[in-house]
Amino acid sequence: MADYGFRISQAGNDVKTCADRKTVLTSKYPNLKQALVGSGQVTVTGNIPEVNITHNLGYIPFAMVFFRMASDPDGAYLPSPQPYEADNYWARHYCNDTILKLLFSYDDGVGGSETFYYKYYIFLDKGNLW
Amino acid sequence: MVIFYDKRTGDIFATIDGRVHDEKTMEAYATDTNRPKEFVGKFIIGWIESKDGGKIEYNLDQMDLVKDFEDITSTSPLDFKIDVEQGKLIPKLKEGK
Repeated sequence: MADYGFRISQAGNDVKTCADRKTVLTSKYPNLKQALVGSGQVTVTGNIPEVNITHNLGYIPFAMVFFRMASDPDGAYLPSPQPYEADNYWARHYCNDTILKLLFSYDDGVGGSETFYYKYYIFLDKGNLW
Repeated sequence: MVIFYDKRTGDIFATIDGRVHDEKTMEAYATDTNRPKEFVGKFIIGWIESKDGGKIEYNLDQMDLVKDFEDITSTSPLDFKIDVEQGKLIPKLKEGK
């Protein structure tokens, strides 16, 4: 370990000698820094609604989105993207320089609607890979 | 917490979590296909950092609600709506209640 930087160890571990995986924070590795975190809901009624979270960061940030459907109140939040499955829904998201865009679709074959609850995380860290 | 609501109905449809918000966060916006920007209002509970490093308070009388939202309870801002006239959050009546 280099003799400079910042380290906080887990309880019960010596911060001077413990393995990096026994730290709760170390400047040796990058940490994701949250820019915007929030939640929301949108109802799909035949259309494919676009949800726009305008971040204005000026670059493509790393982002994560989780969602669940109102018809499944006890269900866990699923990560986006989710492909079209037997339940007749899909969800996906992407970022550009200014916006996190969320897309949801639901088609039960009889014109019903579904409300999607979502949680989003936009990080200051860049999300594009080039 | 920054709360985005539909000016036509008071319905809350999106949030930005947190208690202290900087200028960059205040530029952020949430909209969707059914709610273009002209129909979207912002309601803030917490503090906004000013350029001189100070903090401006917004609706701190409702901070207890934010604490509930942040806690592990199932209380969600999406279960509330904005009473625009009173400038406060009120529980949204659920169907059948």
